[in-house]
Amino acid sequence: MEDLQTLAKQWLHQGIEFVQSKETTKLFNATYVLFLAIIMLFFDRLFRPKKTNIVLFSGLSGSGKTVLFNRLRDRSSHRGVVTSMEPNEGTSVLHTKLTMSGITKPVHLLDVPGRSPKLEEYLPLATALVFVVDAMDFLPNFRAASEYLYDILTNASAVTNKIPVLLCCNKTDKLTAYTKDFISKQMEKQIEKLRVSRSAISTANDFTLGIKGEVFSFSHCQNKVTLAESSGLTGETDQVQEFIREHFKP
Amino acid sequence: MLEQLLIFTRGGLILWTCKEIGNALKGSPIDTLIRSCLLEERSGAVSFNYDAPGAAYTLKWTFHNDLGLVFVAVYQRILHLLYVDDLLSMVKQSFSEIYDPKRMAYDDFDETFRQLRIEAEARAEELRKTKQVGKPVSSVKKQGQVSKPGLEGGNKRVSEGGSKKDDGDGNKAKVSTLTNGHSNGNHQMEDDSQETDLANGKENTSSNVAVDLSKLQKLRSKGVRGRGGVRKTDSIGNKSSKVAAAEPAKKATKKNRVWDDAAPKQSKLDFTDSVDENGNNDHVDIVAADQGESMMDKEEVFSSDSESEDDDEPGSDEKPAEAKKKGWFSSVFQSITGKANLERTDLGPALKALKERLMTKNVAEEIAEKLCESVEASLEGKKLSSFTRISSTVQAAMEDALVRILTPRRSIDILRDVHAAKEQRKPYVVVFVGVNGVGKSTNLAKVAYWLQQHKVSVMMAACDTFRSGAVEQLRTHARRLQIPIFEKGYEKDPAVVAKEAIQEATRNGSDVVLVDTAGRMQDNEPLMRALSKLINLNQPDLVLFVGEALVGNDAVDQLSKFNQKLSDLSTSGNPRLIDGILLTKFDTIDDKVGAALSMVYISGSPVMFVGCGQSYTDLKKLNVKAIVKTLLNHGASNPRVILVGGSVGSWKVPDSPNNTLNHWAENNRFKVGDFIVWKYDMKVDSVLQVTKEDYESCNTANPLKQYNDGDTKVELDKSGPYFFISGAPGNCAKGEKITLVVLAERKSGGGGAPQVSPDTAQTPAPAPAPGAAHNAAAGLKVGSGWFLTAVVIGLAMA
Repeated sequence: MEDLQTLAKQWLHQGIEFVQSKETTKLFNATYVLFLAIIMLFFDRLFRPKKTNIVLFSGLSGSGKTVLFNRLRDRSSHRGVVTSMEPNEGTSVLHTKLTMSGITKPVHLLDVPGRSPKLEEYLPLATALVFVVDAMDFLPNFRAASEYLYDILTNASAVTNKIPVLLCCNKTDKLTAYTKDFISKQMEKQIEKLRVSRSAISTANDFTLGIKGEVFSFSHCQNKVTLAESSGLTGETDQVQEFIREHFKP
Repeated sequence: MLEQLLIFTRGGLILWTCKEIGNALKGSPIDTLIRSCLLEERSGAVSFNYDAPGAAYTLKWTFHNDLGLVFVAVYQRILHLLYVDDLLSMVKQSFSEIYDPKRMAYDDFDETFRQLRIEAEARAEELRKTKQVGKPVSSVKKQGQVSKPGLEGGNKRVSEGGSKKDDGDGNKAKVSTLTNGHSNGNHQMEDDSQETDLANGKENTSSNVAVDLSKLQKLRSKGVRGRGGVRKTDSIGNKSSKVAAAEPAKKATKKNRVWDDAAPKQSKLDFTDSVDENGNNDHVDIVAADQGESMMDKEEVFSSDSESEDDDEPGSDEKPAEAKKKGWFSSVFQSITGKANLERTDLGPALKALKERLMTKNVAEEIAEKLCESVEASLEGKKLSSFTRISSTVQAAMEDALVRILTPRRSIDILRDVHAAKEQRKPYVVVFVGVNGVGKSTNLAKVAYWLQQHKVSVMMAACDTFRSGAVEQLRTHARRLQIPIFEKGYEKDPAVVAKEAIQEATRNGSDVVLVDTAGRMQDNEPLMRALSKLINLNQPDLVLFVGEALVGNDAVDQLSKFNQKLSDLSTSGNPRLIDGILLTKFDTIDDKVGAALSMVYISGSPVMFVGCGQSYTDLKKLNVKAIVKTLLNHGASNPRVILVGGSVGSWKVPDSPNNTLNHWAENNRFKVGDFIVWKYDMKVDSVLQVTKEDYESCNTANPLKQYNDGDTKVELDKSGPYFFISGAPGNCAKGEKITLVVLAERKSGGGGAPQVSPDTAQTPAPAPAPGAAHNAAAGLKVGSGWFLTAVVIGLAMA
C-alpha cells in the first residue's frame, strides 16, 4: 500500500509540474475535450432512450408471433420463420387506411419467444400486450395457452399497470381455424378451472383473477381484454393494428 | 445429398434458404432442433438427429454470435456427408460478409453458395478417391482412440463407424495439405484447428491464405517431429504429408470431444403436455390431523443476498494467460481499445473457473462440461460491450442458460391436472420411482398430505412388494394421515397390485392414486423390467423420479439409465418416460444444489417438488432464481446481518414461553463473520453479553460487554456459544435472553482459495503498481476505443 501511495504522489507531482509548464488556454482546451468525451460517454450509457412504450407479442411457441411481428414491421413475412431463440425488437409505422386519424409515430414492437422467462422483465415496460393464439391447432394447446394467459393476467406488473391485452387468434386464413368466439369461450372455461386449482395454491400468483363467486369471463379482468382475428401469413392484421393504435401512447 | 441449408437470425427470421435444393422437409426438424437442442443449452453437441415418419435427418449447425445468425444444414442420416461442417463454416464466412441487419433478402447469395457447395463437394469427392491411400496409416493409428462408446469427436459424424470416421478426417486434412494455398485448404485447416473466428467479415482472403499456410507449415513440421523426427523436410511425398495431416486432425478430434448421447434421446424426452385421462367426481372428505400448511403453499421468502459479488477470481484467472503472451503495455492497450470479438482462448479461463464453481456446487462433471461448451458456443465471436469483463459476460450467459434449463417448459401444476382427470372420472395416478433409500415413501406421504390439504382425496398403493417392512411403513403413514391404503402384502407382482389399486380407486372415488414402488438400482435388470411393466400396464399420469439432492455424478447415470430402461423395456411403441423429478433431502445439502441442475438437464423434465425436512409439511417448490443464484455464487458466502428475532422490536419479554428468542435462534444458523443486530428502545433496555453462568442466573452485574445504543450490532467473530441477556432489571428472568451457537466457517473450496492474484504473485515485489494497474485495466475490457482516442487528442492539444 505504501508503495502505491508514494507512486501516486510522484505521479501527482509530475502532473502538477506538467500542468504548470503548459499555457492555460491549451490546458483549458484539453480539459474541455476531456469533459466532452466523458459527457458523451455518459450520455451513451445513461440517456439511452428508455423503452417503456412497448407493444409486447407473447403466446405459446408456434402460434405465429414472429410472423405477425414481421408483418407489422416490414409488411412482409419474408421467407418464413423458425422458432425464435431470442426476442425480436423493431418499430412499425401502422399502415392501414386509418393512419390519418390515428398516430403516425412509429410503434415499438417486441416479440418475446414462447414461454420465455424473459417476459417478466418486459412486462413492466409494456403499454399493450398481444397474446397470440394458434386458431388452427387450438385444441391440443389450449390448456397450455390458457395457463400462460392466466400467468400473464395475474402478473403483478401487468395488473397494476392495467396493460390492455389483445387475444389475437392467428392463422385465420386456414380453413380449419376456430372462430375467436369459440376460442375465447374455451379459454375462459379453462381459466375458470385454473382459478379454482390455483386459488388452492394461494400465494403462487400475486393477484386473483375475476370476480369471486362468478364464472370467469374476460370482462372481469382488471386488464381490458379484447378479441381479434388475424393472419400473419396473408397479412390480415387490421384488428391488431387498430388495437395498437388505440392503446399506444406516443 | 444435402436436404436443406438455412440461415436465420436468433430471432427466428429466415434470411436465406437454398432454393436449388428446395426439398420439402418432412416434419419440422429445424423447430425441433431449436426447441430441444439449441434452447436447452445442448448446442455444444456436434449434431442432432431428427426422426420423422419416413425421414431420418441429421442436423448440423454453427452460430455467428456477433451477428446473431444461425446456420443449419439438414441431410439424410444415411448419407454421412463429409463436407457439411466444411460447407457450413464456408457459408458462415461468406454470408457474414454480406450480412446487413436491415436487409432481408439475400438472393445474390445463391450464386456464392453454389460455388461453395461445388467446392465442398469436390473436396469430398477427392476424399473418397484418396481414401484407399490414406487408410493404412490413419485408421490403424487412431482407431483405439475413438473406441469409447458414446463419444463424439468434434469433426466426426454421428452415425459412422470409428475407422471410417478417421479416414474422413485424416484424409480431409491431407487433401488440404495437398491443395496448399488454394483457399479450400485454408478453410479446411481453420476448421480443423478449430479457429472458427472467421467472424468479422472483410478480411482479405489472400492474407488469410498466407496466415494459414504458415500455420500449415507449422503443423506439418510438428507432425513430422511428432513421429520421431524422421523427416524434417516438407516433401509432398505421400507418407510424410499423410502423417503430418493426421496429426492436426487427431488433435482436433481430441480437443473437441463431446458427450453426445444426450442429443438423440432428446426428441423422445420432449413431452409437451401430459395426457389427461378420465377422472372421478366424488369427494371423499377425510379429515387428517392438521399439521399446518404444507410448505408447498408458502411463498418462499428469498433473502436477496447482495448481488454485487465481485467476480475477481475468474477475472484474475484470465490474466495470466494473457500476461504470459504479451507485455504489460500491449495488453493494457488492447484491453482499453477493445478486442473485436471474443475468441475461444479468451473464454477458456473464465469458463474453466465457472465449470469448477459449478462442480463445487455438486453439478455432475459431465453436465458442467456440456453447459460450458454450450455457453462457449453461444459467446464465441461475440463483441464485448463496453466496460464489461469477460468473466461477467460469461457469467451472465451462464445465468441465462441455467434459468432457461430450470424453468419448467410444461405445466407443473399437478392440481390442475388432477382436476382435469377428475372431470374425466378417472383417478390421477402418480408413480414414484427411484433408487434405494432416497425417500420415496416419505415423500409420497408428504405429497399425499399436500394433496389432501387441497381437498383432493388420495389413496396410496403399496406396490413395494419387495423390501420387508415397506408396506407397514406406508400403512403407518396412511394411518397418520387418515388416507386409505391399498395393499396386497408381499411377493405379489407390483404391476398387478397397482392395477387393482387403480380399479379400487375408480370404485371408491379417489381422485389421486399414489403408487409407491420398490427402490431399485438403475442396473438391476429384473427390477427395472418389473418397473417398466408396472408403468406400461397402468399408464400413470405422472412418473415421478425421486432423487436425492446429495447425489453427484451418479445423478446422470441414474436418470439416464432409468429413462433408457423404461424406453428399452417398453412393449408399446410410445414408451412412458420420467415426467417429473422430486428432489429429496434438500435440507441437508446447504449450497450444493447442483443435483437439481444435473437431473433436470439430463432428463429434460422439471423438478416438481422438493423435499426439505422430516415432517409432512416439508415439501416445497423449486425456487429457480434461488437455485441459479446459489449455483453461481462463490463458495464463501457474504457475511449476513441478522436481526434478532427476525423483526424489529422482538428484544422484549416474550409473550409466551413457546415463543422465546431461543426458539427463533434454534431455527437459524449462525456462522462466523455474521453480524447480529438488536433494535430496541435505548431508554428502557440494553443488551449484555455475559458468561454462561451469568446467563443462567440472570446476573446483570458483571457483563463481558454492555450495549445500550438502541441499535446494537455484534460481530460473531468466533465459533461457539454466545450468551446475551437484557440489561433491564427483571427482564432476563422473564425470558428476555438469547443464546446462539455459532458454527465454524465452512471451507468450501472454490471460493476463497484463488484470492492471491496470480499476477502480483508473478511480478516481482518492487513493481506492484504496474501489476495493479494491469489488473484494473485488464478487468475493464472496453469495447469502444473512441473514448481513449478522445483523451489522447485532448492531451495532444495541450
